[in-house]
Amino acid sequence: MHEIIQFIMDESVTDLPENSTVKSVGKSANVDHSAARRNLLKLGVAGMPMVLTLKASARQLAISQLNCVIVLPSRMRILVDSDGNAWSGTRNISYDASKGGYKLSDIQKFKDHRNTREFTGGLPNSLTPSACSSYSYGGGQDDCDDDSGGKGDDDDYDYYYDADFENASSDLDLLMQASSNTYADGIEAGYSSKDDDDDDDCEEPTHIDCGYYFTTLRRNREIRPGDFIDGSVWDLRGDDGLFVALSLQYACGVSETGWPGISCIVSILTYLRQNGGSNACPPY
Amino acid sequence: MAAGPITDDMKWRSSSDGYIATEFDDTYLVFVKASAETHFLNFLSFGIVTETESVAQTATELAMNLRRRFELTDEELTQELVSLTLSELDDTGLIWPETV
Amino acid sequence: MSTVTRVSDLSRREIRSSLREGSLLLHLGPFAQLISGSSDPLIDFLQDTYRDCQVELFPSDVTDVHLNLRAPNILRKFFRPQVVPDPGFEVPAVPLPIEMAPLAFEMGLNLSVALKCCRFVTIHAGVVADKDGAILMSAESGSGKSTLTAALLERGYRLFSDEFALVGLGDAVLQPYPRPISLKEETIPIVRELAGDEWISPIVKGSPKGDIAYRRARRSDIDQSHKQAKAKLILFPEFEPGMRPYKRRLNTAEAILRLIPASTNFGLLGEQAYLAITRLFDDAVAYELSYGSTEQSLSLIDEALQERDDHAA
Repeated sequence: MHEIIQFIMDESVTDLPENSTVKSVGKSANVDHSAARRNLLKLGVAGMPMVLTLKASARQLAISQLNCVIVLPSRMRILVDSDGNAWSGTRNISYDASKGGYKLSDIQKFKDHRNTREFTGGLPNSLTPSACSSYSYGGGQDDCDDDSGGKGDDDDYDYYYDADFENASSDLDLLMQASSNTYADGIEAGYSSKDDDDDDDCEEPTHIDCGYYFTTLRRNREIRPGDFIDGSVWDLRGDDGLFVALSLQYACGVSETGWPGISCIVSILTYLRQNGGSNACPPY
Repeated sequence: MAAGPITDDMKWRSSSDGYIATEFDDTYLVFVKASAETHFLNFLSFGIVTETESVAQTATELAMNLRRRFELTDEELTQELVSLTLSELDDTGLIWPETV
Repeated sequence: MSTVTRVSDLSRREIRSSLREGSLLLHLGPFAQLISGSSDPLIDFLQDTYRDCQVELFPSDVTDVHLNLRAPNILRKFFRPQVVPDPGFEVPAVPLPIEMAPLAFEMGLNLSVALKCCRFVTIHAGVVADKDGAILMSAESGSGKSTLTAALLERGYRLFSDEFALVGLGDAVLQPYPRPISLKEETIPIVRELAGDEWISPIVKGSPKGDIAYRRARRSDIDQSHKQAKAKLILFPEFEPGMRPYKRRLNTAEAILRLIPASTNFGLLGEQAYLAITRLFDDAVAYELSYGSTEQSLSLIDEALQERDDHAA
């Protein structure tokens, strides 16, 4: 906007309309304005606005709250299903294209894990994966009798969390950095000694490639919730938008503490409420 | 608040009671009292506001009167640009269509 | 009987007792601010950073602001104590550890003035003044406004405010409100170097805004906080390390359109605010400044002042 104003001012010369009673500032007398005006009209025909509106009714402190940045203190994984439910946690869910998608047992373990938070419904359509047209389980034949706790089962490594979650998390980050595999793959590669998943012989489907969206947000990822505000409503997209959507559900329905970057979200909600945002909280 | 679809036979009005204008080198800052919004107008858009204060006018009438006032030809100030500017001004609340 | 005295003349016990009872009235600039909520970090802060300010322990007058620094809930009053600023209306503030009570105090005062003051147009800006008039510096956080304000103090300017330009509604005259200058992270050593160690408060570490310290207002700033000034220079500074110094004279319309969004109560005051901001430019000229060091910013200001004087002559 400032650029346009500067341009218009550079193009303009002074003159008050006849019989004008408006206050005049910086007026220079006896300047021929006709050429500049004709030029402005040409620009108007070409699409330059004839009216500029300063939208701000100006609460700079509140506006600065819109610019807050959330830096994720630790890695966060998010699972979304086609009903708009979501889970956030720390476990990984294996994706194996050769077996037809995400491992079902991992999905269930992710949902059931004690560090997982569940969000029931409420995500906008833009963040919800399509439902399966027909259940398309993958072809893997393993893990029917899960939760037995035997070697080679992913469950074995839950002790990482149970014993000392925070230290384990750091260890796992190191492991992740040292490997291009996913977390679960890394664990398997490092610790599994027998009874690999692939060796079982069950008929139950083990993988699914539709109806879910799963993503990992890395530690130190910077998320700017203000980027998802269009006027005074939310326009949530992508993984960062998904994080903001869950943050909103948390702030609006659960608590205003205990979620990364919640103060940023609360500030924005306050701003939106003060500025007439009708859809500050879900449903959108 | 826009008035909806703009038609050629609409007559437009304004009132100097509703705003405060400050002139800076042939451009105008206009504060609208009702909305507490500030707008930046050039000679044409502000000219439309002042033209419609005394008598309501259609886009055609405005284009004719503004050409005469600013000594412009039909080619220099087209009726299309006047209509476009009316539409922009309609959003500011500075002008409104006169109801019959 | 109520008497006005300086914070430095009060004992710690008196301050604590008054804060507990919610009867400590801080007089600063045009505002009377009633403070309640006792904590050791807040008392330390008041005794250090507000030592020269005038207070009343048993006020009888009306107050502009009532700021309560309270625990967010009963649990956080005793277990890992926390504090939130409560100015009597909903604010976007999160609980802070009790050690950060100074930050909560400053935030609470800022929000009170920013969102509820109706006697002045409040503009997020630093302001200093000399006998010829005031320099108003409007910038977003992180643009070097506080460092520039602090640097100008060392050149003999009076501190009006680091946070708010208070513009009179009728006359557009600027009103001093000499609160401490808030310094963040890397600006702390710069201002410490400029002002001297004795003028910098202890650092509040690990706050949501990073490390924070305050440059105290001088006693002379506080004692002259009734002396208003007309604006002579309105600046939109932007600091970025390594940036080439640059200065551009702004036309008044553009400067006004930049100042309006920086006002925290423009929407509240409406027409009066518009008129006051427009009148700010009666004697003032506006510049956009970009620079990579404090020395460069001061040189650019010198140039701008010279141009203004030349034009007036």
